[in-house]
Amino acid sequence: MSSEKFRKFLEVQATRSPLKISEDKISWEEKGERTVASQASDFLESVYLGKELQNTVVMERSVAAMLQQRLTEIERENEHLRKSYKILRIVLGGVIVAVILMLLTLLSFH
Amino acid sequence: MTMKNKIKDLEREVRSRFVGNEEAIHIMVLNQLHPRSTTLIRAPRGVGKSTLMLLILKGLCGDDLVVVSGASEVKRGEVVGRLHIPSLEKEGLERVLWAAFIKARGKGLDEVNRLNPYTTANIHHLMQFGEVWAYGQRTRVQDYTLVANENPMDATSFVHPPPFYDRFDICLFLRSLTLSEKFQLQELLDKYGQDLVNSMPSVVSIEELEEARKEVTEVDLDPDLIGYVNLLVRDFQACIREKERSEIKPPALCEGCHFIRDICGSIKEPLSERATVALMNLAKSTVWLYGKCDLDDVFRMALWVLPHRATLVRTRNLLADFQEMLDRERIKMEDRNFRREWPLLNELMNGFKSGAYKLARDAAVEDIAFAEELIRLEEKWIQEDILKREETLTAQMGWKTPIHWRTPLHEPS
Repeated sequence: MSSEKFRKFLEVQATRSPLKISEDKISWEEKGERTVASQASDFLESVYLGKELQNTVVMERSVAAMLQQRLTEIERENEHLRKSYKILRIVLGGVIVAVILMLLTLLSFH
Repeated sequence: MTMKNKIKDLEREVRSRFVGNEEAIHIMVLNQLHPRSTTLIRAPRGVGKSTLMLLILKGLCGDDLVVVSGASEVKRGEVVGRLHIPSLEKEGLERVLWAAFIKARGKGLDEVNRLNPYTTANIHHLMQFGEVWAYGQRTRVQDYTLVANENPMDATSFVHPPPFYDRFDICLFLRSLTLSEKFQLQELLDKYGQDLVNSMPSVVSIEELEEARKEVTEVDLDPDLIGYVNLLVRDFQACIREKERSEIKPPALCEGCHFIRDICGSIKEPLSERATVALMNLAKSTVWLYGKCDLDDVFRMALWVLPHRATLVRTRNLLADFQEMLDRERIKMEDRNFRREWPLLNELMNGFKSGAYKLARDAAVEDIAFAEELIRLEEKWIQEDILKREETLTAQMGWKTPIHWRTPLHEPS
């Protein structure tokens, strides 16, 4: 059961933003009607050009996906560097021990 | 003076005696324009709750008003009715003398949070059914205006049930005065001889108010506006995991949910349908009084209609939290328009079209209210052998079709 008023609401919406339907494809024309609140903020400009951000940041899906990808890459890089750091610390520890042993050996010869 | 001008005059008279909180007063006046209007004022002590309550009641009902104070010891006989002893003694008849509070057009409840649960239950019944019971007898209550106030921080409070508060159309939160406003108040007190309430004239007569309420009730709202009001309320209710019926509530319920970032995850107990009724009434009043009401008006009004009806997962500042959710909701409404969700649904309601269905599915995975409508259509298409169950969005997203959506086994002939 569908309410008459609900159908009317959908029809009014459809009249306001008509769809072009051809076989399996659907398209529509953009009227540039998005309000300021829903427009994407110039987030990338603030990142790359140091411009000041608005209080509320709205970003496009593509920008959000890009940031998400970059965060994942940074996380991966971070993990990789942490591993390298751990290995280098062990190696450095070994080298210090080896140097101390060498010094002790040299001293014992004298 | 026309009726509309008188209502505007009422707002002017109240505002000329009450400093600050202009939007609250405006909404309060709009809320008086439907039958059995109820308003709750919440504020800390000394901010003007009782004064505002009395100003509006005097402006609307003149002297035909009774205020019951929760701070005093109120008995049922004083609020509802008492037995007429001479009739019982002489004739053996149980005659009820209905209390002045029941008969008065203007009803005030001062410090309602301190009212005992028995009296509150009687008032709850009055607000729900427009009638009261005492000694096995019932009386219908004529049209009224009820204004209550409370300080929720008061230590000597009774915890009244949420359905009682839900019966209040709006809840106004008053703020304290700024420095310059304090000067204004002192000037007003001097002007009106330290008695703001007694200086308040009766601006609208009972007959005029009834006529105005009748006209407002008959206002036809734009289908667009009705749609947006319903959508707004639905967004504050919807949950793909049916939190209304679930013993586990958000945030535990939301673990792993696809819609975790939507406002639904911030709401523990959703809104009742009364929120829709209250918003519609306010929208009708605005159209009647000012000739138009748009989506921005609805979003402004929603801040006074929603907060006392829902429980949030985490509350820091109730009004600020709701305002933040309403801001997110406003963006979501625009996003829906941008995605052409409703024209797509309109196409699909006229019949299955694979292109429209694909786009609708994309939109539905990011919008529960839209997903609910699409799922209903999918159920219909399954019955019509247009779609297989495993091809549906519900199956592919692992959602469960709500049990209460099932159609009955037998239809009445």
